[in-house]
Amino acid sequence: MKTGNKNSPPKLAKWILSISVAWKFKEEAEADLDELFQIRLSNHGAAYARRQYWKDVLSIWTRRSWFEEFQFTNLNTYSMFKNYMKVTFRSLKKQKVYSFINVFGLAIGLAFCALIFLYVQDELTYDRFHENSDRVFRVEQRYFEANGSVRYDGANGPIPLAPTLKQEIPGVEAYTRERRLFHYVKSDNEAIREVVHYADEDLFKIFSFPFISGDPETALSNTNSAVITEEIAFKYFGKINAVGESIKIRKEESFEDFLITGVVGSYPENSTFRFNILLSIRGEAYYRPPYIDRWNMNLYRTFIMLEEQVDADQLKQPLADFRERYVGEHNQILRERYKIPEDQLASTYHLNPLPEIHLNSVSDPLYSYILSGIAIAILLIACINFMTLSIGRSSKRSKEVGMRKVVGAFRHQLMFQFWGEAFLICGISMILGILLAEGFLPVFNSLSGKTLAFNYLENWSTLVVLFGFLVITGFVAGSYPAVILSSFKPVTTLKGSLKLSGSNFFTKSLVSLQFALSVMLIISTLVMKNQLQFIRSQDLGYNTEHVVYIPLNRLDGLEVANDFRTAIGGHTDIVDITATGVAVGFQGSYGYGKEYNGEVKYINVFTVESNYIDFMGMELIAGRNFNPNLATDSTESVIITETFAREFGLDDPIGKQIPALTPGEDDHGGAIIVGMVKDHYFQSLYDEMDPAFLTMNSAWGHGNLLIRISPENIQETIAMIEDTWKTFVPEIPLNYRFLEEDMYEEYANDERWSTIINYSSLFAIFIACLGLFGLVTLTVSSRIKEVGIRKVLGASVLQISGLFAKDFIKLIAIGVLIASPIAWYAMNEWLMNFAYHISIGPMHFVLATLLILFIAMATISFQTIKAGLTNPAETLSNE
Amino acid sequence: MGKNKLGEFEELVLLAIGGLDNEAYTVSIQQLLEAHTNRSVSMGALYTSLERLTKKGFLKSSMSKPTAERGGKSKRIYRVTYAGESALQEARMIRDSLWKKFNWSPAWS
Repeated sequence: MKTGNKNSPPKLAKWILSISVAWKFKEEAEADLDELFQIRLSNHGAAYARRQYWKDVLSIWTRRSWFEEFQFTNLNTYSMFKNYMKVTFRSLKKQKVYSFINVFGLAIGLAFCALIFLYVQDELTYDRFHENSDRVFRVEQRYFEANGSVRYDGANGPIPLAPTLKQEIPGVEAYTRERRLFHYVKSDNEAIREVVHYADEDLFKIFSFPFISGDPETALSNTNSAVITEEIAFKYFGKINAVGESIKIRKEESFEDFLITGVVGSYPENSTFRFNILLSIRGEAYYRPPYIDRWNMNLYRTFIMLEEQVDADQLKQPLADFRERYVGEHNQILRERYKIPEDQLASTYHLNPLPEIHLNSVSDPLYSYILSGIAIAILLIACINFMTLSIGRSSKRSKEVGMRKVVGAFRHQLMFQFWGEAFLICGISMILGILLAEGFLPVFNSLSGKTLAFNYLENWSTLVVLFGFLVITGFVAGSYPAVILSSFKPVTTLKGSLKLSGSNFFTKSLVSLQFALSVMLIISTLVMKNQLQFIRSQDLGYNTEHVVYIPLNRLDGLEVANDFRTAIGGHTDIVDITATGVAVGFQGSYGYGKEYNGEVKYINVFTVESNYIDFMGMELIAGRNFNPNLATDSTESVIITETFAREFGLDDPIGKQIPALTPGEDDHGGAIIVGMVKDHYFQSLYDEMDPAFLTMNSAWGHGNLLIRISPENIQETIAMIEDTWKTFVPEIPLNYRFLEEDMYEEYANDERWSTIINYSSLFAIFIACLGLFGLVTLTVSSRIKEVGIRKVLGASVLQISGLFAKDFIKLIAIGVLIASPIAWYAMNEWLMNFAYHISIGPMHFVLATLLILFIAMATISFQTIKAGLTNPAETLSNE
Repeated sequence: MGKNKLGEFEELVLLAIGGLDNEAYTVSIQQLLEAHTNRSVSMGALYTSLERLTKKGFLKSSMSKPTAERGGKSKRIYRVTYAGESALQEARMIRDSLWKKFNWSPAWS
């Protein structure tokens, strides 16, 4: 509709016409309207012609009723159809509880499916909106094991990689390198910390970002130009068209002016490369000699776009040769270290296709599979409700089936009827389900960390898939009544000799399956909760309470810490102040990757002040603490962790020189170990603990300020810190976090998954219980006479309730037996993500079983107790 | 009467077809009606009328040879049957007899 020739009929109208006149005049009508359009076009102009075309189409649409099109060959078919509809609605109305259970259960199942479809679709169409996405690749460094398998992919590349590739590898059309940094940005007001990207000017040839204003060809050709998004334009200038304005960015020590040369409009969220502010890569801090020619420093992401018709697979050999040419020496080292034979590659440049980057390296496709599995499980539970309830009710419908057969219905007509009923109920559920999904979308978005939306018109595949769900669900849910009910023999049903207790083998297995699925989700929920709690309650080896953490962005930490100590260090609400290189937390730290006795060890370095161990509440277990008055301590002493001593085999480390580091070459080489602290978790519990040491050597900078404040008067204390900050660092606003808050962000992903599974299991149990409730109601009503006789013979209420409960407990027990091993396997896999984890114990299974039994008993107790309390005189009187 | 009753629009359609002689097909009928009534005539209304009139036996239709102006598609040419003509005559007779009895206000004399 947006596009399309003004001088031809509206496409949408044409389409509506083509589906509305499925009658004998179709071709004529189309020809008529086309001809009329041409006449009107020449007499009154395009607008009038289009308007009249729409009017005609709508008049045709409204005047031809749907039923006229069905071309019923005889009156009987039509009235039978009307009768089916009537019977369906009657039975829906007559049995409100079952209708509610069916419709509501299916609606929730379908809503889940719709939401998860959106999620999966978003994952699978990542980066597809970039027009050239099929020929854009990220150049990665791929390292191999001795057996030829991939050991590791490095996403970053050296600075000269891209231009040299373009020169030497035929078929490379354009390239862009990319680096992101945090900078302070301001226009007239306060500076704000923003992510700033640096890139080459061909970026806009490779990625399709919609320019609102400015020229994409030249937007990044100067080092003092900047391209921003419309949100940024609005944030800093209060208007969208900000081209020609200038923005101040603090790249180094002071703010510099940048001229805005382009504003980019909104683009789909699912893009791997996203930016707010974009500068030319030629202005990046490392884009200068000697780094600009170095092949051993991997700083920039490198994207290339191949010419059309160039096959990426055919570039494998040229790229391997290219790699050998420029980093042959490194390859040689790798060969020796990993014992890679000469005829095999040690490393190469690998082209990672843009549309696959997201699922290859950012997000795990496993999540999509798990989510789809959950959605299908919930829908299946709802379908099973439909089936078991139909079976339960079949005794009531069997008379109808018998009657219809007696008056001449064929089996296929009955199948049509029952399937039709199922589709009708699914249709109603679908509408309800879409409304539910719309309602839950904001919650789902915050859980999944995406910004999804239903765009029915633009994204018509959503509609197609929803319709597909409808068809499949209707087919599955309606299959039992359609196949079995229609097969009843009229004589048996009408004589009433047909036995349908509502609990045959088929029903039983379905109910067990339902509960197996629910139990699986419950066990998963329990294990995940338990593990996440374990992580949170783990003693980290240091105290993170009430620690304010201030990143300093290139200011000298020692100086700021001293200023703060003199200004507010004596205040009662300030417990202690210290400057560190990296705030301890779960981001890990800077460090060395060193080979030691044939193994590569990653050594974490914490640049600290002398009061650090006291500040963090760490425990010194050998040697001594740093001495602020000892000049050598500030450069040549280190304190190691227990793991460090263990990993490097140091039995008596105190007084020894630090191993693995080379004096003169490494900044911390030759330092003497003066003490050892107890192990503490400075990495997340996903990873095994690495060796680490503390040093006061400021070679790697004290980039962060930590202030421990007292738990009282937090507001006032923060205000005081802010004031002090303003007097010492007036040009930058204070940017602080609490250490505790930051630490658990590392686990946010798994927390989210735990919540999603939690919700899913709630819904699964809820739907399963709805079905159970319906089923128990049916069972009770079909055995009500038996209950009467038992009561006459002296059974108590409890015995009667137990009679019904016993059957269901059996089914649930079978469900638990099926679910447990599967849940155990799945959860073990998940726990393997964590280097430190709980083990799944019998308690998880017992708890899940008790929980499901309790819920199920609570569900059925209402009906069973009611049955036990009925007066036998009432139920037996009409026999 | 009864079955052979003509609606106002149906009457107009029949008259238009009669006026167009051998050139009466959907588009030309629609154009003629629009020109004479000064109202826009929707194709939906025209189709239903044509179909109803054909069912009543007032119209006959036949397909013409394909023409270039319709993009190579043939058109359905309508002709008024004898029954249609007599229905028109009847309608006119009823009208005429009522016209004669009409008491006009002095403004028209």
